Amino acid sequence: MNNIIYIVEDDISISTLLKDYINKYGFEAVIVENFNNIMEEFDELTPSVVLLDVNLPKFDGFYWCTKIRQKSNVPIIFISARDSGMDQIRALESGADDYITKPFYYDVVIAKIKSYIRRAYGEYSPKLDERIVELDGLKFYPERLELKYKSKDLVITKKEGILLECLMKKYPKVVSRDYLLEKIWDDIEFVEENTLNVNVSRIRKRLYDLGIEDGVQTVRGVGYKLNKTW
Amino acid sequence: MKLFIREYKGYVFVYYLGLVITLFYCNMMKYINFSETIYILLFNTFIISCFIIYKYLNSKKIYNFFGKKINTLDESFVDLGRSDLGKNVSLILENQYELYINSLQEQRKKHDEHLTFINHWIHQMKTPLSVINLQLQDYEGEEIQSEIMQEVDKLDKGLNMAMYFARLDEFEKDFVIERVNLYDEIMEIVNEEKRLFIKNKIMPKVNLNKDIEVHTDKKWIKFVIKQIIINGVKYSKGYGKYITIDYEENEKYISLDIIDEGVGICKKDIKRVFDLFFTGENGRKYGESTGMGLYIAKTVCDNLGHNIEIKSQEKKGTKVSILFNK
Repeated sequence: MNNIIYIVEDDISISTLLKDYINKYGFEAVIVENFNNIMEEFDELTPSVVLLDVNLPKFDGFYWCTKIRQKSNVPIIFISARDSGMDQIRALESGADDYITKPFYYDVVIAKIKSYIRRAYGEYSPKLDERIVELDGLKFYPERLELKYKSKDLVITKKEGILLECLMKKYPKVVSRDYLLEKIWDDIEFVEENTLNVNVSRIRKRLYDLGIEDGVQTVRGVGYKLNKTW
Repeated sequence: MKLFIREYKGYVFVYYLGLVITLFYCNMMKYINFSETIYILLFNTFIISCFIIYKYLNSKKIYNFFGKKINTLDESFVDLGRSDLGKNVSLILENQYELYINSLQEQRKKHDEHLTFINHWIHQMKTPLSVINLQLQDYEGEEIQSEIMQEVDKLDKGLNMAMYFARLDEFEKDFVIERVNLYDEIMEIVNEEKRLFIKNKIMPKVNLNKDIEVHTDKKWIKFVIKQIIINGVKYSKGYGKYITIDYEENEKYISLDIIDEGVGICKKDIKRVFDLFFTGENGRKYGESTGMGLYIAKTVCDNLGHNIEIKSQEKKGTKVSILFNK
């Protein structure tokens, strides 16, 4: 059974974009259909996580949050443009677990969904399919940090993994240095330009170990791209 | 008293003038003798004195009132005695007060409506901004994407600025004082602004203990610190390499210092950086300065009871300190 993520948001563009993105991660996102019958829809779906906007037609998000809390302990995450402390406090008081302010990043939403599912359902939560990033026989498993090509495989570091995943996903486009720096920027130890250089040359070496020569190409003044020599 | 005397001395003068002329005439024509003259004079003095005293007692309040200033609106409601003058003056005052309050209320209503509009509008604008933001995330890493993203970022920051500026008016309804861990807040801000740091090739250096706590409002202080850090990065571009976030502590206060190695602020500008809409030399040179950020920062700090200080040396850098009382 899939984890259902119930999206209660009245802006169609946002809810559709969110749905598509969430679905990519192996969840099943469902967008609210009728703002009058949120409770009925909720009962039918029995979602694993609810994403809730504050400004909704008829009743606001706080109201629905309280309603849902009366019968369920499902994790509720607010997504709203209102960022005053009062709104956040009200959200938590209505029983919400978290609060994300607009504009937001997909990564943040996914990370929160995952962490709440893990916390709420623990080991019993249905296993998500393992993610694989693949490019013509070169396979990368982000969760295990394993890189496979033909019969060879090796384990790389987290930073290398992040960089490689970006480069593979974007292939054949060039990925800018700034973006790669942003991706490996660690929340505690901030990275300098040099860290990026070091990690890119390490990736080159890893690919070389797998039998791929000149795997990463430097584009002067812009960034890097994968060079598919295999 | 002075006013009263000035007002009535004319009457008294005319009264005696008439009296003296009449008595003089009667004396000349021998209608009355001298002792009668004295008697009439004394008698008339008694009558006029009674009248003046009665008048004075009756309108003492209003004459005292004329000498004073009105300091608060509520002072318009005063008892000005039973005299016609007093009654009429206090009626006019009341009338004026009512008119004034009415128009004030009308203005207040308009102002509130305007605030509500601004708040709604900002939230409304955030939704399309979120959509653009989400759609752009699919093109991450591409040159054009980062350019557009930067502009989207500016829009978002501008909207936030407008929102916080509008909210200043209702500050007393919108703050929660709690213990806030400075390290956590700073790390959050720095990470939220990582793109800004990377883009401008500035590195943050955070030299804070992990357990410093201060009493403040989380959301407002975050806005203030963010504003100062953004300024620091903006005016360091091409100059400095680091933004250092440091702190000092003594018995009285904890001082959070945000130090950049940027262009600095010239002497004639530094006194006015907290003024509303003041952009100064740097604003002219680098553009995109609204003259609102530091004004909001200062006002917020004043409201929260923190001190904010700024020191700067041209071409060396700027140090902004927020002092939190212990």
